[in-house]
Amino acid sequence: MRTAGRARFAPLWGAVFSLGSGILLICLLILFTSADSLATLKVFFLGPWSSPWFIGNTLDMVALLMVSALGVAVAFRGGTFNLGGEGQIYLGGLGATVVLLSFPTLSGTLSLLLAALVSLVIGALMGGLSGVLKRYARADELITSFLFSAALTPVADYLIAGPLRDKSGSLLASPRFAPERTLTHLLPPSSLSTSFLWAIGLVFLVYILMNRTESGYRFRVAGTSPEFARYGGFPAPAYWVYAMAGSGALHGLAGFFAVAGTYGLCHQGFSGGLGWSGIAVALIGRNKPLALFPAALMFAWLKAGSDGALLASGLQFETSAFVQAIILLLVTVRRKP
Amino acid sequence: MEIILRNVSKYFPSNGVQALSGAHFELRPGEIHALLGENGAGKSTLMHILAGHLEMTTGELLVDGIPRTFTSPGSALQTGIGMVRQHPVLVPGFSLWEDALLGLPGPPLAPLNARLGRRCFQDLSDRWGFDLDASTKTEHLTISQRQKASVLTLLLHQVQCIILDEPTAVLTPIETERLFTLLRKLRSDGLSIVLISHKLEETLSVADRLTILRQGKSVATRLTNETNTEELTQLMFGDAIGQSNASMSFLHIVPAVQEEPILMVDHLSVAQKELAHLRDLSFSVHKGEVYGIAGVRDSGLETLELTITGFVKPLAGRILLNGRAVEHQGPLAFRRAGAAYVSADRLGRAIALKLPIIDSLIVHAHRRFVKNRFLWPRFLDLKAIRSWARNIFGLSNIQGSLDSPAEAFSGGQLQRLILAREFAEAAPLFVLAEPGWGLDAAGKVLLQERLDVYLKNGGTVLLFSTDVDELLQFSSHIMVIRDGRNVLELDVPEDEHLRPMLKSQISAAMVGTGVPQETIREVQV
Amino acid sequence: MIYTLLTASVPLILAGLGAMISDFSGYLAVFLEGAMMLGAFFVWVFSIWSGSIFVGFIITLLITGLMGWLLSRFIRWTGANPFVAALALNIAALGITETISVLLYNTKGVLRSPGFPAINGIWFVVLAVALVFLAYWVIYHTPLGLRLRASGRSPEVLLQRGIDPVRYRDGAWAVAAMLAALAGGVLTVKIGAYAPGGTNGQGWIALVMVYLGFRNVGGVALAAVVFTLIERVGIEAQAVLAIPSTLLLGLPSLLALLLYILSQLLRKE
Repeated sequence: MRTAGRARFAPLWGAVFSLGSGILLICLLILFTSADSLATLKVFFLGPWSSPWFIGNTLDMVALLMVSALGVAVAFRGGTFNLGGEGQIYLGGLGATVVLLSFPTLSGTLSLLLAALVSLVIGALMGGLSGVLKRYARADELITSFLFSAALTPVADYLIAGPLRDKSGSLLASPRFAPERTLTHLLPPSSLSTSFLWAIGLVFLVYILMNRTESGYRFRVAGTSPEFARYGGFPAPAYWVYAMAGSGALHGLAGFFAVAGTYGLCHQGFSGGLGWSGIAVALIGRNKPLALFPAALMFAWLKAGSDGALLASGLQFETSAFVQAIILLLVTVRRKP
Repeated sequence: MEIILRNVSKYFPSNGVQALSGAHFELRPGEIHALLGENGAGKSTLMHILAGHLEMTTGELLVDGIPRTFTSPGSALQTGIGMVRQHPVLVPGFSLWEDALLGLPGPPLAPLNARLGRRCFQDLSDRWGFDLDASTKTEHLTISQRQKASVLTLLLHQVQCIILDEPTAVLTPIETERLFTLLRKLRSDGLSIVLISHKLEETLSVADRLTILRQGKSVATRLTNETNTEELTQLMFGDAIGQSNASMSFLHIVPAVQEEPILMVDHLSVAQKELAHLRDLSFSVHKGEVYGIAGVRDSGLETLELTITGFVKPLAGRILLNGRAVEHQGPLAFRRAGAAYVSADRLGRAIALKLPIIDSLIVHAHRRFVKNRFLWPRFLDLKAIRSWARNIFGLSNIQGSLDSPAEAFSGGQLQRLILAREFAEAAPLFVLAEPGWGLDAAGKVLLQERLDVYLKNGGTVLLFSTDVDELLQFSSHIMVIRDGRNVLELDVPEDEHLRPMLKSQISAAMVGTGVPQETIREVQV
Repeated sequence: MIYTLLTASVPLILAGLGAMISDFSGYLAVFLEGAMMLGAFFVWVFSIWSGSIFVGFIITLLITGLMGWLLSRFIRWTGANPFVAALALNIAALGITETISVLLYNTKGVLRSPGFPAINGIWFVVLAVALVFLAYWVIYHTPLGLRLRASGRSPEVLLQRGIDPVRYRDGAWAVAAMLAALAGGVLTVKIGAYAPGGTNGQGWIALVMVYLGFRNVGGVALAAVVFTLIERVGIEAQAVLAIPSTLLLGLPSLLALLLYILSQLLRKE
C-alpha cells in the first residue's frame, strides 16, 4: 500500500515530466537548427523576462491561460470534459465585442461590466447545453461541446469578417474599442492589463467556492464519485450541468479578457490555441485552482520563450503546436516508464 | 490429471488477513472431491490460487508431478484447469456459442462459420444433456444456465479439472440434482472435479472424497463412505458443536418492545430489469430489535435493501419509517426519516476513493456545519468539521492524516471508518448489509462493541445478509426472503446453544425445498 | 447523383469504419482528425516524391498505422489518459504538417503540382465498399473479430481465457489511424492537391457516426452515406437561400450534433 506521503507526490510526475520534456525538446531543436545556439538558448530562457514589454506580454498570456485553465479544471472536477473551450472563448469574446461597440450612452465601466456579463452568459449557455444533454439524454459532453463549438466558430468568423468588420482597415477584425472601453493597461505598451488581477481573483474565488462551501464540497464529491454522491443524497447529474456551465462561463470570460484587455478589438481567430493550452495548463496544475498560477506561468514561459527563439533564430518549426502536443502527451503520465 | 497443493499460505496485505496457513489438497483423476468448511475457512482462496486468479504467498503446486505457478487464469486454463464461479461472467451481447469459443487457440483469421460454431456448441451441449440453445444471447440466461454454459466453455477448452465455487447456493433442488448428475457424467469421462461447498448433506450425496478446511488449514481428508455428518460437522467447526468462531461471542439481545413498528414494509413489489423481483412483501421491524433478513444472492435480498433505502422505486406498496412514507423519495429522504445505512458494496458506494478521506467522512455531517444558512454560497465551518472528523478517526482507532486520499488506507480501516461514520449519526434505525464483509479481526470486535452500545441506547438494527451464521449471531428476529417473497419468520432464542439448530431450518428456507414454482426469472450479474 | 453521393461519402465511410473498430476495443480513437490530416498531407508528399500515388498511400498508411499503434502502447506503458494523449496527436498532426510543409515547400498553404496524377473517383468507392465488407467479415466471422469485440465489452472474460485485451486496442488504434489516413489521402487525391484544413472536422464527425450507426459495421457505413446526403442537401439549400459560404463550414458539425442528440434520445434503456 502506498504511504500517504508518496501518494501526494506521485501526481506531480506528470507535471514535471511534461514541462521538462517540453523544455528539452525546444533546447534540442535549438541546438540542432540554430546557427548561434547559445544566443538562441538565451532568448529561449530569458527572452520572456528580458524587458518590461516582454514581461508584460508574458504575464498577460499567463492571465488568459489561467482563466481558460480554470474553466477546464472546473469541468474536470465536476466529472465532465469540456472540449469546446476554443469556441466558447471565441463566441464569448465576440459577444463582448458586440456590447463594447454598441450602447454609446453607457459609461466605460458599465459597458465593460456588461460585456463581461454577456461573454460569461454566452459561454455558460454553450457549456450548459452540453451539461443538460449529458444529464437528460446521456449524450457524451466531449462530443457535444466540441461539435457545438465547431458549428458556431464559422458563424463568428463570418460575423467578424462581415457585419462587424472595421471597413476602414484591411484586417479581418472589428473596429478598435474606445479607450475607456478597454481594460486599463498596467505596463504599457505591453498588453498586460487588469485582466491579470481579475484572473488571480477568479482563481481564488473558485478555490474558495470549491473548498469552503457546502455546494463546492458536493460538487467535488459528485465529480469524482457519482455513486457516493447518490448515497449521500445529492446525485451527480445536476452537478454535471453546473460544471459544464461554469466551465463555459469561465471560457467566455477568457474571451472577454482577450478582446477587452489584450487586443482592444476582436480579430478572426483570436482565440487560436487558447482552449487547448488551457487544457494543458489545467492538467499540469492537476485541476487544482491554486496550482494554476504556477502552471500557467511555466507554460507561458515555455511558449513565449519558444516563440521568441523561433523569431530570433529563424527556426522553421511550428514550436507552439509541438510544445502543446508534448505536454498533453506527457502530463497525464502516472507510471515512471 | 493429478493435482497436489502442499503447504499453501496466502496473506492479503491490503487488509491484513491470513486467509490460508499451511493448507493441503490432493486431487486424483476421475473423482469428485469436495472442499468443505464454513465461511472464511479459505476454500475459495485455495481454489482461486489453483485456478490462477491469485498467487500463493508460499507453498507448492504440482500438476501431474510437475511443479507449476499460475500467474493468470489463462495459464491455468492452458494447463487444463478451469473454474466455474457461482455467478459466472459471460460476455454481454454475445451468443452462447460465441462466448464459449472465445479464446480457443487457433489462427486468428480463420473463418468462423457461425453454423459450425453453433453446431459445435450444440453437439456438446446435447451430449451432456445441458438443454442449452447455442444462439441464445448471454443476457437471457438464468443462473443455472450460466453455470452450465461455463462448464461447456471449459469443456470446449479441453480442461481436465473443473472447480465449482459454491454452485448450489443459488440453485433450486431440482437444478442442484441436475448439476450433480452432470458432475457424475463428467467424472466417468475421466475429469477431476472440485466442489466447494459448505452444505454437508448434498455434498455427501455426490462427492467421492472430502477435504475439510478450518481457519486456513487443512484439517482432514475423508472418503465419503467412511464418514458421516456428525464427524464432518465436528471437523468443520472444531470442538464445540455449533460454535462458529471461537473469538466471537454472541451479541447481548434486548427483547423487542411491542409498540408501533419503527419500520413497516407493506405489500412491496418491485419489478425492475436487472434486479431480482420482489413480490408482495410485507414485514415490520419493532424498536429495539435486531431484525435480520436472510436470502441467497438472487432472492431479492439486494433489491429489498436498495428499495428500502431509497435507491430503487417500487412498483407498488409502502415503506414507512417512523411513520413517514419513504418509498418513492430517494436515499436522502430515507436518511432524514431517521436512518443510517451501510451498504454491502462499501468501497464502491460508501466512500469517495480518490478524494481526501475527510471528504468521505463528512458526507452526512457537512449539512450540520454550515455557517450561514440563508445566503448562497453556504460556507462550511472547516474547523468544526475537521475536529468532528478527527473524532471519527479516534472512534475507529485509526491514526493518520485527514487529508490523505481514501485509497491510501487499507480496506479494513476504511470499513471501520464507514461504520463509525454511520454510527455517529445516532439514527433511530441502523441498516447494515453483510455486516462481516471486509472487516478484519479488529473491525469485527469494533462492530460488536458499537452495536452493543447502540442497542443499549435504544437503537434498532436492520440486517441484510447471505450468511446465516452471522445473522444468528446478531439477530433477535430473522426473516427469510426467497424469490422475492417472505417465506419464513422466526424469533431467535436468547439461549446461545439453541441458535445453531435453527441454522438448517433457515438454510432450507433460503434455498427452497420441494416443488419448484415458476421458472427462475433471469437475473443480470 | 448516386455516384457523386457515394464518392463524396468515401472519406467519412472510411474514417467511420476506423472509429467503429476503435470503439469495439473499448477506447474510442479521438485522434482521427489528426490522422486524417496527416494522411492528406503525407499522401501528397510521398506521391510526389515517389512518382506513384500507390506508393504514396502505402508509405502513408505504414507511418500512420505505426503512430496509432505506438500511441496505444505508450498509454499502456505510462498509464497516461487515453483521451488526452489522443488529443495530443491531433495537435501534433497540425504541427507536423505545417512544419514539414514549410521545410519542403516554404509555405503553409495549398500545395499544388502539375505532375499530380488524377484518379477516377470510382476506384475509391470500390475500395471503400471492399473495406467495409472486409471489416464486416473479420469482425463478425473470425476469432480475431470475436476477441476484438470482447476486449471492449468484457476485458475480464478475455483475461480469464488467457488473452490480453489491451493488445486489441493497439491493433484497433493502428487500423483506425490507417483508415483515417486513407480517408485523408482520398480527400487530397480527389481535388488533386493538398489543402490544409480540408478535413474540416470530419475526423470528429466520424466518431459520431459510430453512435448514429448504432454501433455496428453496416450501420456506420450507412450512417456515413446518409449523413453525406443530408449535408449535400444543406449545401444545395445554401445556393437557394444565399447563405454565406463561411457559415456553411459549420453545417457538418451542427448536423452531426443534432443527429447525435437524436440518436441518444432514441436509444432505449
